[in-house]
Amino acid sequence: MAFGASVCFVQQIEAGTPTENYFPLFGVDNSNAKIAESLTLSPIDFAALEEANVVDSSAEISEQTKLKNFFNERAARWEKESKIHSSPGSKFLNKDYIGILSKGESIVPLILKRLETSNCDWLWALENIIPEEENPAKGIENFKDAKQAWLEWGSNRYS
Amino acid sequence: MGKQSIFLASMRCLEIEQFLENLGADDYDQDDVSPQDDYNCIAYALGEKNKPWWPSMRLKDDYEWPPDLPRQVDDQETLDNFILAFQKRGYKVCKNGRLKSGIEKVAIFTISNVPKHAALQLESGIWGSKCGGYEDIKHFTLSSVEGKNYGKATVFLHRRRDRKPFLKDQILSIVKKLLGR
Repeated sequence: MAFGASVCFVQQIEAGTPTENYFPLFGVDNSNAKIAESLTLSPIDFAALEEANVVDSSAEISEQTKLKNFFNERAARWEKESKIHSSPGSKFLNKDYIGILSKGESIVPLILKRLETSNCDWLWALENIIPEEENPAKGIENFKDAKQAWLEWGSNRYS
Repeated sequence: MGKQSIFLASMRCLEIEQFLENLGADDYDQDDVSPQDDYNCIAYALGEKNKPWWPSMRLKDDYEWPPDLPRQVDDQETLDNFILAFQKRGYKVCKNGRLKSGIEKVAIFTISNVPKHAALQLESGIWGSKCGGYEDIKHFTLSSVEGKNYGKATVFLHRRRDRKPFLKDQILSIVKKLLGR
């Protein structure tokens, strides 16, 4: 850019020259008509945007609801069925529990929410979803303290 | 003694019936107590109901187990470990679950040799079970609680109800002392 041109440009800005007149200084073909044409936007269709947003968020809600329903149905059934066992291992060898585990980390907030009021062993599921190095209850050998550690971990991670 | 005379006002737990497929409404009576989480079937069979018993490696503090016996990974528990635990409380392996006066018997249920449940024989000959987190029940036969959840009663153990050693063991102990062993 030539020094004179930039000085002139600054002067034009200071003088409040309309924007379309800046461009000749840089050799840009900027007739008002062309700029107007290039800047012409189709009228914003707010209704369409809104609809798109609604569709997106409702799709998201629907996915969340589906996951929540999936979890709640299986969790309630597992808690009832596993109660017949004294053997901790037998509680986990259950198709509903494994189905919940298979959802991976997306299901963890729902597990933690249920764990707030449940004394069923959801910790084993958490231990098997969350990588071992992140396990907040590592080394804790009783349910009560391990549960507390997981709930605190969850409130930090998902708040 | 007929079933009806024993379980005159029998109580049912439909959930237990649902999960123990061989347990019919007339096969058992549910104890009139709220379900307790303080103990499990092993604790019930041992008569030590202050804590559940299991060789859990994961939640060691929540389960009682003799300190000199191994803790094991879930669902990889061994029958030998359970037998040794019962032996620590004076039980010895026996042949069957037939009622014998003055003798207390326990049956261990297994699936693929992995222990799943235990039942205790009461003085009347009826068996008692603590069904996981559900209520204690009294059932006429061991087969009524066998099935997909508890497997089969495969090992039986016995001890004297007065908790004294068996006569044979007493004599053996005296002989050992006499021989200076």
